[in-house]
Amino acid sequence: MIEAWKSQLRKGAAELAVLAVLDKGDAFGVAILDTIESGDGVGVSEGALYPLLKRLETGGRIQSYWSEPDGAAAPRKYYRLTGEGQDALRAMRDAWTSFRQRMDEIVGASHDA
Amino acid sequence: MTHDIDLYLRRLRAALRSLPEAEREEILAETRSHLREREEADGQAGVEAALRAFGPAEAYAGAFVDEYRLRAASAGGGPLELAGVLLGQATRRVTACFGFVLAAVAYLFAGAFVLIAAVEVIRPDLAGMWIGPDVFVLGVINPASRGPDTAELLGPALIPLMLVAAPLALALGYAISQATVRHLLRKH
Repeated sequence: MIEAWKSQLRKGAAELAVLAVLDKGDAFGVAILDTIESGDGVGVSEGALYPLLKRLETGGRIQSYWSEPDGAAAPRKYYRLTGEGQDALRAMRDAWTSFRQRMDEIVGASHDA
Repeated sequence: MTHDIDLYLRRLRAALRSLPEAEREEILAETRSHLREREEADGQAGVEAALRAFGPAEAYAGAFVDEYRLRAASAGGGPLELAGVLLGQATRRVTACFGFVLAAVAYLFAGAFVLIAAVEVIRPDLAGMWIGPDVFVLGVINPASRGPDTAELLGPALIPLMLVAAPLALALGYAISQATVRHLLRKH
């Protein structure tokens, strides 16, 4: 029961998390995943990340290019935010912030009581 | 490259065969790159963990294939393509099942309207709008259920009426399919 709820919560947060990581700079799949999944993690797996990146790219929120930096094990596909992606991230951040504040008021208040 | 990576990529390639070649190769190259990075960093244990996280090749490919089919159908697919996409997802997604059934009913009505118009041409005594005590039939009537007080009200006007109704039902079915596919694409 709680796992299904957590899965839904993570699914909704994954897109925002990916866009937020790319807002800090261009990144490839492994780096995006390791950033998102460090610590407790959001719960995005390899099997979910790449279809999500494909969807974001098709939707025009991110762009990709291939590069092979020195020392890399293989050519890497890097992603960057587009202008549309930055607009989406801004809107999603605002929505997330107000949602979190409201939830903190509701959940935090009853917990403190 | 380990045998496990090679085997996974071969299964993934087979599962992605319905995608355009460029798109398929891009997915394969990125998956290969990811697995090589994990292999370089953590050896065979890293590869095994990554393969577990990718999941079965067929399921992983399914996410791309579903998305591609929905996009292709949404960008101007005909009634058959739209219906095929919805049918393909109907067992996994309630919305797809619901949209497919509604569209199929609308298409069946379109076919029935054309059939009724054809019967009116061939056997005008059987087709029409029949009204009588305990009887209302718009379409083809069973002669046995036509009592002496049953009257046919439309006559030859039934043909243009059915020929207008048929494309309307067809358009409704198509609109339902398109709306469902667009909804699935947004929620994918």
